[in-house]
Amino acid sequence: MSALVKTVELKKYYPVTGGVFKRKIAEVKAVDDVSIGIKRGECFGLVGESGCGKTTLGKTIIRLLKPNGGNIYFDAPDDVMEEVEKLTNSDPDSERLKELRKQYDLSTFKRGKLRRIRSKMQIVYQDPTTSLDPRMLVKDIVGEPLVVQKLAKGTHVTERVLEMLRKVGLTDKQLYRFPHEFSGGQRQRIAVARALIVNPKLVILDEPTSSVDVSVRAQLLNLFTELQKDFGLTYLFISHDLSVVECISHRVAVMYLGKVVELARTEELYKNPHHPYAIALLSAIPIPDPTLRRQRVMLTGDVPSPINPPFGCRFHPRCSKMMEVCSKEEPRLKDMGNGHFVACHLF
Amino acid sequence: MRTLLDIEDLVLKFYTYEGIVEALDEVNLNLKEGETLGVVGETGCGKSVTALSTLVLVPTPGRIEGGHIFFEPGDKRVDLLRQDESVLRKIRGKDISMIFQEPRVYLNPVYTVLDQISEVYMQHRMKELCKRAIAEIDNEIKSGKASFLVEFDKSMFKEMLKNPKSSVLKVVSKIPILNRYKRRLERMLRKEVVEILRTMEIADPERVVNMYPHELSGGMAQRVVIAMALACNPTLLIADEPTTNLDVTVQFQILNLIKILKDKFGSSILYITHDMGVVAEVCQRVAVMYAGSICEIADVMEIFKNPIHPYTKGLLESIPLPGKEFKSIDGTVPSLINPPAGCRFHDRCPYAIEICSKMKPKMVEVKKDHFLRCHLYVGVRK
Repeated sequence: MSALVKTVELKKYYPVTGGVFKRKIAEVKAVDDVSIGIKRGECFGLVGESGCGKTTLGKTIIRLLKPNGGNIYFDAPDDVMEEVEKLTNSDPDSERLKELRKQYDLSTFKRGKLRRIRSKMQIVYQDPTTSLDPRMLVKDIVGEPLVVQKLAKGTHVTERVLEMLRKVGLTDKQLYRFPHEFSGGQRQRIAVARALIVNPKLVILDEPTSSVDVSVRAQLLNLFTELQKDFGLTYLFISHDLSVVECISHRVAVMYLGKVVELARTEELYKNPHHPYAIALLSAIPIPDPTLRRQRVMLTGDVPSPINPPFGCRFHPRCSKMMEVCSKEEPRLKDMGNGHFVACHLF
Repeated sequence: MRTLLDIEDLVLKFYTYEGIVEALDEVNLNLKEGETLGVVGETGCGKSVTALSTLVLVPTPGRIEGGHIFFEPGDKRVDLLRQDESVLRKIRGKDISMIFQEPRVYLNPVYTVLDQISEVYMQHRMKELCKRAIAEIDNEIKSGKASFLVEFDKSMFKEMLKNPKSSVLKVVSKIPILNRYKRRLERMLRKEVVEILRTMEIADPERVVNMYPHELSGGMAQRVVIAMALACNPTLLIADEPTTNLDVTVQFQILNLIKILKDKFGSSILYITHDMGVVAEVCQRVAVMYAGSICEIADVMEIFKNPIHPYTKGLLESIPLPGKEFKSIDGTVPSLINPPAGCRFHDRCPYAIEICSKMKPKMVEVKKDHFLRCHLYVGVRK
C-alpha cells in the first residue's frame, strides 16, 4: 500500500508571549520532528496522554495550523515520493525538488490552493455540542461544505445531504431540526455526515467517542468502520482511549511530549511494546475482567512541561531503565523489523 | 459483615420547568463495612444523584419524596433523611465524605492547598488539636523553655475547648501579641496537612502546601481532593467518577492510591463510575443502574461471568475488545420526564415480554447475594 500522507520532520511550536510588548519569550514544542506515513485505506491510531500533541499533529497535517518546519506530502503518487526522497538525500536545493514540493507538499500551499484541496481532507471534532452551530439547521450544517467548496447548488445540495444523512443512520425527518434536539451520539453522526459530504480521502477523527456513553460508543465505532469500507476512507484516529484504538486501528503511533516514541501494527504494539513509556501506558489500561491479574508498570510523577522538555530522550526522568546516554542524546526512530519503529536508546 | 449504609426505596424527583423528572425510582442499595461497592451506568441514570442524596445534598429543584437512608457508623443507626441540618453538618466530611469528578472545579481557586485542607480539620477535629496544643505547652513549661505568654496561650486553648464560639476568643484574636496562640495552631495544622499530603504520595508536600489549585496538575489536584476527603478518617467514602478526566497512567496511580488508602484508613467506598474496567479493578460488589433504578446487584466476578439482566449483558458486550464486532444496545436512554411504564428498559430490551411494559419488576434475590430486577428471570423460574 502506498502512503496517502507522509510527514517529514514536522514541527509545530506555539509561541509563549510575555512582557510589556508581548514578545515571544519561549516556545511550546507541541509537535517536534514527527515523521509518519499514513497508508491509503488504513486507520492510523494516534495515542498519548493529554497535552502530548496528538490534536496539534492532526490539525497540522490537514493544514488547519501552519507548521514551523518540515513537510507534509499529501496524495502524491509512489514514484513522486521516491523521487522526493532521493532528491532530499542527494540534492536538497535542486529546482526539481522545489517544483515537486510546490505540487504535493501541503506546508508550501497558500490560500487558494489550500482551499481547493480542503475537500480532500476533513476533521471530526471531539465534542459535537461545540462543533455544530446551534443556530443552524441540520440541512445547512451538513450542506455547508458543498456550498463553500462550490460542489453543488440549490436542490442538489438537499439531495446530497439527504443521501449522506441516511448513510450515517439518520432519517429524512431530521433534516429540519437544530443540533440541540439530538442526543450526543446523533450529533456526532451529523458531524460525521458534514465531514464526509465532500468525498474526502483523509478524515481526522479527533477523539470522536470521548463524549458519549459506552453503548453509543460501540454504535459510532461500527459506523466508522462501515463508512471506511463504503467510501474507501483513510482515518487518522486520535484518542486517549487505548482500548478503542486497539479495536479500530491497523497501525498505532504512541506520542510523548511532541514526539512519536513507538509506531507499529496494532497487534504487534499491544502484544509486544518496546518503549518503556508504551509499556507503562498499555499496562495502565484497566481491563474489564476481575479474574485477570497482571504484571503492571506504574509511572511516577507527572508529564514535564513542554516549554522546557528534558534534554535528550524526553522520557528519561521518569524512565526506569534510564542510561547515561539518555540524558545527552535524543533517540531517533529505529526500525525493529516488521514495520515496528521505536525511539529508544535501549535498542 | 455489618451493614454500614442501607438505602431503602429511595425516590427522588426534580421539579423542573419542563416537567417532573423522575430521577430515582425506588433505589435499594446496601454497603457493608470495609467493602467497595461500584455503581455503574450511563450518563443520566442517577448515579451521582444517589451519591448526593446519601449526603442529603440534592440540588434545589430536586426533592426526596420517599425512602430511607440508614447510616450506621458505630452502634447508633440514623436515618439521614430525617436528621437536622446541624447533625448532618457534623456527619458530612467527618463520617461520610466525597471525592468529586472534576477536582479543579471542586477546589477553590483563591485559597491555597493548606487553607482548604486545614478547613476540614478546623471543622471536625478542633477539639483534638486544642488538646494536643495544651499538652505541647505543658511539655514546654516542664522543660523550662517557655516564655511568660505561653500560660496565656494555654488558657486560650482551654477556652476554645470549652466554647469554640466564645466572645473572649473573638476579641483576643484581634489583639496583636495576645493572639500568638493562633500561630501555634497554624503550625500544627500545617504539620497535619503536610503529613496527609505525604500519605497521598505527593512529591515535596512542603512546597505543594503553599500552592494554588491552578498550579497543580490534574493528578495532583485529585490527590489534594482525596486528602481533603480522608482528613477525618471517614467511615464511608463516596467517590464520584474520581478518575474520569484523567489520563490512563494517572488514573492507574490514583486507583492504586485509593486501594492502598482503603486498607490504611479502613473506610468503605461507594465507587461511582461508567468504566467497567475500573469496576473490575477496584470493586468487590457492583450495582448496575439504568434510568433511575437499580437493575442488578452482585459480586464483581458474578456480574462479569454470569450477568442476568439484559441491560448488564448489553453493557458488557459494548466494551470494545480486539477481534470482536462492536455490539451496542439499540435505542437511547429514555427521558426521565416521562419514563417508560413498567420496566424502564423494556423498549430497548431484546427479550421484552408483554408484562414488561405493564408492571414494574420487583427486586428478587436469584442466587445468594445476587439481586435482580427483571420479569424474565422470575418468569423462567416459575
